[in-house]
Amino acid sequence: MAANTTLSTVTDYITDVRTLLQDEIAPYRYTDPQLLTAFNLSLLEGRRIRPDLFVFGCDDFPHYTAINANAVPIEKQFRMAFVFATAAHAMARDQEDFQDSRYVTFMQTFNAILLGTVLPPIAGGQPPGGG
Amino acid sequence: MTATAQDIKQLLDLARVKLIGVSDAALKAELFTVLDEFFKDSSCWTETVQVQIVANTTLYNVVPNGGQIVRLAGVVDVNNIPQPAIMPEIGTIQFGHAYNNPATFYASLVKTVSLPTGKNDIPVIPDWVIQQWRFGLLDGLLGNLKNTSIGSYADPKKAPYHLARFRKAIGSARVSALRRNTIGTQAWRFPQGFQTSSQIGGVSVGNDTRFR
Repeated sequence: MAANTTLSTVTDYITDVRTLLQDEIAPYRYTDPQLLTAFNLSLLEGRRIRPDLFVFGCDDFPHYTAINANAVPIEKQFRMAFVFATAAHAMARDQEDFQDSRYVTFMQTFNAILLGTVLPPIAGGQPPGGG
Repeated sequence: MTATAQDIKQLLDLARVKLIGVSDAALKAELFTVLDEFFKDSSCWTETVQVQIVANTTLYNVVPNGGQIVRLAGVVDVNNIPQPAIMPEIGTIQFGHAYNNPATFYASLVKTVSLPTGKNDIPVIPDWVIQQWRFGLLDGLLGNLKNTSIGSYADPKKAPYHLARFRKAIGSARVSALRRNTIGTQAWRFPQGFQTSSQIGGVSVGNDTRFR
C-alpha cells in the first residue's frame, strides 16, 4: 500500500482550490498571487484555532511565495480544511448572493474539520423599512 | 531497552480512535506531559549508577543514561549498606561525610522523560512502561486532551473520569516500584538510622527481600 500523498505540495492545494472555484482554464478569474495570499491566510487562521497542527515540523511558520512543489507540513487528516478556507477567502471578494452562500458554507466546512463544530453564518441586519 | 515503535504506535492509536479530530502533534506533545507526570509522581523509573568514591570528597556528579534525574532514591556501598547522601542540586550527590578510602558506591536515581525527544518526537522511555501501564497512560492522554476548552475531542465532563483513573495508575505504579514488583512483601522499612548492619551480638537482621 503506497503512502497517501494527497495534497502534499503547494501546487496540489492550488490545483484543488481551482477545481472548487471552477476556475481551471486560463485566463483565470482568480490569479495565482491572489490564491497564494488566500492560502497563506488560511494557514494563519488554521494556526489561530488549531495551534497544535504547527507544533512539530515547522521551525518557522510556513509562508509560500510561489506555486511549486514545496511541501506543506499539514497532517493528512486536516488538509481538506485548508482547501476550503483558501477557496472561501478567494470568493469573499465576490458580490453575489450565490457566492456569499458558498463562502459561508466553505468557511463552515473549514471550521467543522478543524474544530468539530459549525459556526453560525454571518447574518446581515434588517433592511430599512423591512418587516 | 527503550520502548518499541510498535508499543508507542498502539498507545497513540488507542487514543486516536477515542479522540476524533485530534492531531498527531497534539498526541505526541501530550504524551510527553503524561509520561513526565507519571514518572515524577510514581518514581517508578530508576537507574543505578556507579559512584567512584575518592578520599576527602563529599560532592560527586552523576549522569543518567537517558532521561533526566528527578530525585535521589538512595546510595549503597558494595555490601548493600545505605550511605547518608542527599542531592542538593539535580545531578550532584553530597555525602554526609568524606570517606577516607577509595570505594565504589551505587546511587539509585529516580528519572523522568527529557528533551530533546527521540525519533519522531517520541520521548525515550524504558520498554516495560507501556507494556505494564498501557491503560493508565491511555487514561492520562484521554483525560488531558478531553480537558481542553475547544476542539472536536474536548469533553470536560468525561475528563475527570479519565484523570482519576490516571492518578490511580500512578499510585499503583508507585506501590509496585516500592515493592520492587513483588507480591506479599512490605512496602516500607524502618528508618535506616535504626538499622543494624551486622550480626554482632547474635541478632539476625533481615526482611523479605534482603538478609544481612
